Amino acid sequence: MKRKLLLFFLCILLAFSFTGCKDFEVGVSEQTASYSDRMAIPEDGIVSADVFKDLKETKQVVTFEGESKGIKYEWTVFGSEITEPKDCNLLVTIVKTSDSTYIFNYASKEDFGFTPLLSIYSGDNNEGKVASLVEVRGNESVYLSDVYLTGTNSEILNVSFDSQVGTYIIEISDEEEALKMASADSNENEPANEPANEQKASSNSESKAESKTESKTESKTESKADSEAYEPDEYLSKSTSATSKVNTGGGNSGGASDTPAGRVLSDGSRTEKDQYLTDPVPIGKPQPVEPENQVVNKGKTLSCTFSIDCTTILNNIENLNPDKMDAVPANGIIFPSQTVTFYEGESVFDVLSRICRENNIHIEYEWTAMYNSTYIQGIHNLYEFDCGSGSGWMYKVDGWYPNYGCSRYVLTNGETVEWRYTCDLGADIGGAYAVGE
Amino acid sequence: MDSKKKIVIIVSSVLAVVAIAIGLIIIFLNRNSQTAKVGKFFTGPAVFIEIPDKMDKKDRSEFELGVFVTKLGKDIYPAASFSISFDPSKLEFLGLEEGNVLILDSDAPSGDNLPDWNVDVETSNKTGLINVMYLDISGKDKGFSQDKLYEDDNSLFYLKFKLRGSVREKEMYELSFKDAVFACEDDSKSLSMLSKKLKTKDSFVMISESK
Repeated sequence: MKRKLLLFFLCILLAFSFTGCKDFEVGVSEQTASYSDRMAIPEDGIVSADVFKDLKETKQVVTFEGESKGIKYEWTVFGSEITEPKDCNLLVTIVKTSDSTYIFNYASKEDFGFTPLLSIYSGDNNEGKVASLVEVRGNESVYLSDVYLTGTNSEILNVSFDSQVGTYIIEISDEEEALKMASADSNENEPANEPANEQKASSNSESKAESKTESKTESKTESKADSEAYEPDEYLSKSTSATSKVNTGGGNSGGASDTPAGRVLSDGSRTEKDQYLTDPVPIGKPQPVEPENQVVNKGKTLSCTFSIDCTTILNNIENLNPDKMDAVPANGIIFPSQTVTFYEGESVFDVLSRICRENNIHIEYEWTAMYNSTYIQGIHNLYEFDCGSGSGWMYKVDGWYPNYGCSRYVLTNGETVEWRYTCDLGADIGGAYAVGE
Repeated sequence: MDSKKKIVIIVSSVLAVVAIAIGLIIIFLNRNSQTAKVGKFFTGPAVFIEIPDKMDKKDRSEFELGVFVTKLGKDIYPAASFSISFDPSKLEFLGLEEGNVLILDSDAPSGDNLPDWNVDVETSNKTGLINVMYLDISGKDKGFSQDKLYEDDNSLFYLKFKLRGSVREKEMYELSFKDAVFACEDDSKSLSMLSKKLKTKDSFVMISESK
């Protein structure tokens, strides 16, 4: 009897233990629910792996609030990004060194393994300003990313970067100042490995793209003002000398010649990609001209035939993003073929952007330093990938799809420019060769 | 009872007491830590927009962002309006979905009802400003009240959006309150963002980086 009583007592004890554990687990899950999207960072900064585990499982987005020397900051953690929950130190020391510089230092000694958003409440009015995240490496400041400015007065500095170790600087500057710096940077940028055509995947943020594009325009203006004579770049010098050599030899391999606009045509002597990753230009086709070297002669007006269409979409309507149905004209013609005027020295991009502006046609583009050209992302609200993974905008001049960007193609009088939307990397519009297919 | 059994009973009792004590300590600590985790933001009346998970730039499905209220004052608020700005070139506003916060309604059998929110979707997409408004036109105090709020998750309404084709990876699109008001008949008792009696917390949509 006593043994039975003892067993019963032990069973009760066991049951109670389990109930207790279960209650505790309920407590945790309730705690998860009560995170209420916002939590204060503990004094020691350590948020336990359990919390991140909960966030991972529930895929919650939670904000952790902290303060450093009177400067409020927040981490926004996206539960879906957490792969291996671990203890993370969320403390950040923030120092404002001047009106335009914030230095912040992560207390964490290792990366979190996910990319949260760090928002710093500067309290400053940053309207009309831009900000960059910079890492100091030795004597060099290395640009890492843009800093998004949000809030009523753009006072919140938002950084989303995959490293949570070390010291970083946020530099705030006037937009104009930043444009000048971006312009200088874009001239120093090294090319990367990607085909030089209009069929490029999208990359940087729009603001950055815009600032770079604008900076290029500014640089172009400066070069117009500064340079009296056209000075070809290193490659073009080489090409020109090669051309003269051929001509001196009395041969005519490819008909290298100067057009009335001073255009240099390919003689086929170049067999490798140029510094902007452009494949050799076919014989007789115009060599690219670097935008920074372009000289626009506003005293001389020329004309060309220009059109924009997306008729290919009509044959691939099943692949079109349903949201874009309204953007496709019934006949696929966005800008019917017509004669337009332009100034001597202007590029295909210059003319396209003006036509779109004057005719209220939406256009979005970004400056791509590696190709030294502007990349057209969307026209008439039709963007790359809107009609399949191989879709996007390409341009054709006198029946040829140039294998370089539209900012590098300087138009001459009487040419016919067609902007066409491809749904199959150019194959459906006879331009697959331009994308290396 | 022999001494062996006595020892077993004593040891079992001690274990039981220790287990109960540990359980209580854990629960107590857990409650404490939970209290410490509640942010400062929720100490007064506030409205905030939910922050969504990072989104893929190719994602074209509809998504909803809740607009929540934390608490109200002691009065009845027969009108409420919110102006929320967004980037219409990146996000398409599709309309509202009702939340769970009810208004007092003496005409309804239950004594409460869902508020009838007004919003102009087309204008919102043109201007980039979503103006959402509730107004009791009956004059019967069909308004918002603290009594009708829940302990947690008081959603006023949900904003429905879709990403446009122009979104780019790693970009961030802000959704921010330009104004927020719970209006009282006695204006001095109204809660408004501009008079700083109603806190607001903005949100954003973040586009993930392609891996």
